[in-house]
Amino acid sequence: MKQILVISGKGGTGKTTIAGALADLASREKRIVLADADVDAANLELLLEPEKQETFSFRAGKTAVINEDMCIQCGRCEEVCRFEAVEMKEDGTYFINESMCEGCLSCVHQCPVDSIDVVERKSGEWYRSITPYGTLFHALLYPGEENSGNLVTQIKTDAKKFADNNQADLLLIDGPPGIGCPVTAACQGVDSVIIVSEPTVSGYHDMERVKQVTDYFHIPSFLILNKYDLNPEIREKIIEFSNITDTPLIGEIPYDERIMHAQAEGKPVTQTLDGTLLRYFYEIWSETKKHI
Amino acid sequence: MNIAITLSDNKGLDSTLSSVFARCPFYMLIDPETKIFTIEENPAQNASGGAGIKAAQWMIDKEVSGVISGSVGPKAHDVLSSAKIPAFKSKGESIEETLKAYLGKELESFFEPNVDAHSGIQE
Amino acid sequence: MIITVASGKGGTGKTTIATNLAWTLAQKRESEQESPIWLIDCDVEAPNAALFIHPIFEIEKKVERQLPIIQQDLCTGCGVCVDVCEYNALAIARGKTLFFKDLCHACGSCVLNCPENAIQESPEMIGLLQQGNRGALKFAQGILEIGFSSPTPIIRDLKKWIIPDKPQHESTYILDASPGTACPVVESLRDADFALLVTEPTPFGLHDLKLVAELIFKEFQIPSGIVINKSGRGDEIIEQFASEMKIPILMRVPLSRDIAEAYARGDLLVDAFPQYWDQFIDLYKKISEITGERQPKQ
Repeated sequence: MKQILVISGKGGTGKTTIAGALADLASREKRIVLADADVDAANLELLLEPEKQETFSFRAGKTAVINEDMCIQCGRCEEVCRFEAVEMKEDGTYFINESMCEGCLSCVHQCPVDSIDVVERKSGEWYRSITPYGTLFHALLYPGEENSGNLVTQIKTDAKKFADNNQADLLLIDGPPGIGCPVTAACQGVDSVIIVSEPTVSGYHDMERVKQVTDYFHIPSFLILNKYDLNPEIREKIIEFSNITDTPLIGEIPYDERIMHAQAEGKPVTQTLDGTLLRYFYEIWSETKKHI
Repeated sequence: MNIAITLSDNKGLDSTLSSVFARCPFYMLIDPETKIFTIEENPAQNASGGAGIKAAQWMIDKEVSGVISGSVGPKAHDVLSSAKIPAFKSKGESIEETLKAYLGKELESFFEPNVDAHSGIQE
Repeated sequence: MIITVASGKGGTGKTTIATNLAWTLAQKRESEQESPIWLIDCDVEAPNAALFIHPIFEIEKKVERQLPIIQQDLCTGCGVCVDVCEYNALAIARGKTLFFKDLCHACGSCVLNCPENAIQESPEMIGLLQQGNRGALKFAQGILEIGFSSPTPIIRDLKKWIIPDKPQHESTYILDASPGTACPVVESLRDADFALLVTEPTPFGLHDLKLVAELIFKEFQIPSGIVINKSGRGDEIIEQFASEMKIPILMRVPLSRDIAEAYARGDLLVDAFPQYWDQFIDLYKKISEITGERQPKQ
């Protein structure tokens, strides 16, 4: 079983569009399992018509809560809290503003009468769903919550286990944006990474940074250039980058409004596009196959 | 001396090797000679951040003499190498295969354990 | 007035709208000798508004946090600091304490709990704030130092630095938030008078617009309005959501290859296509009407 991760660094480069197209084309030939590791903005499910089979709750992060019955109002918690999360009510009692609390538990350790409790917060949910293309593992992280690296790992671990148990050939993962902790989590254990870039000033910059991450983990990476005809000079730079860094360019997709319109159907674009544009996606899939 | 092997499930010697170090669900602590082992839950699995550090600290506290995993992240690398605990890339599909390779010194090392970590240390 | 420009999804054109709105208003106000417009780039992990504005920076300020320094000669290797650190930023190997500053939230818990008083603190730079201008437009941004993972304190300091406690009535601050709906976006929306939500007419755009609208509804209860970028076919799905949520659609920028090319080059929309000038003036007028502020002079 092979694991492929699709990432981009910058948002809006078409990462999920390409992941959706690959899911469709791959599922016609192989047994595949899918994971949407972009848990902050889980968009792959919008293309795959998932039916939820199982729901799991995701608990991560802690918050301190003052037990009013035990509190002696000494103010030590307010003194040690560096996040301005301890506030005083009008009657002189203290409480902790959950939205400011960073869960450092400094107040918990310092309270002289042990009146501060620790509660875990429910930060989101994750799901196992069936789709016409294969089983999908995906998640919903509640707005304002962090710890998405942790959630990425949970989804990937479950997806991998499921793929192994069901003798799948391929686990296809739609990765998170950026280069932070969620991306590091998404890279763990994958066999290859597909980087989706675009020839814009910021697209080039972000591609370079993502490449550093995949290099660190010694994961072979490949490049897809979306909207390749938007800017010939930056495209040249990207091709040069591809040659120098040994990151094969396995496909290019032109700027075409029909591709964006095709998304509106809520299906992989390979289901709705016609001939001339389809060709680009078929080529990407056949190149991808060669490398896995 | 025990070594630690990262596992993705808990099925004794038939457990599946995990490709991740910091956030795998279980660790097997095993004496590679006698094959006497215990399997413990990974306390760092659900850490919100710094899972690699926490897991590596656990290895130090358990006094393991080596770690076998599919990958080791940069921070776990720093802690393990400072503790001079070598880490090896697992080989094959089963615990038996990877242990055999370990005893035969065929496993690829993630880093030279005698070299100081490149970052994270405060002198 | 503080206007925060947000979008659940990356790549919808949030920076395009924020930069063009700010630039247009600054020009207009200069000619009418009114108070200046500020554009504040709060996307401290990937600040790129400056790529379009090309400001001249005049003042810089470091963002510092008190990070622990372990005095190894006093440290007995007892491990209390490792136990109390909720962020796993500390480890002890062979009697030596390792500190990972990128994970540290500077909470001070290790310092307070060390039984040997072996941990001191010293200020460490975790980010940089810059302010300057391009012509009539005042511009500020924050940059997260590479290797640190918490953008929120940078945004907090950036806002404190630029926006006075009680902003003057006539000052306008346009904040470009980071994508998503996590803590940095919450921080960028705190104290805002209006949230301008930039989306695109695709199922992705709609999905992420819902998330950010939900966040605003739950946490802030401030008025908001929608800009549809890459507008054209598919606008109905955004229109339907907007009418359900009673959020007005204030502006549309069509899906166009010319606009995409201008963006790729790093050009401002109103410079490449002057016909957008009036539309941005109109956008601000609508926002002012909604927030009940006085309108710009006609």
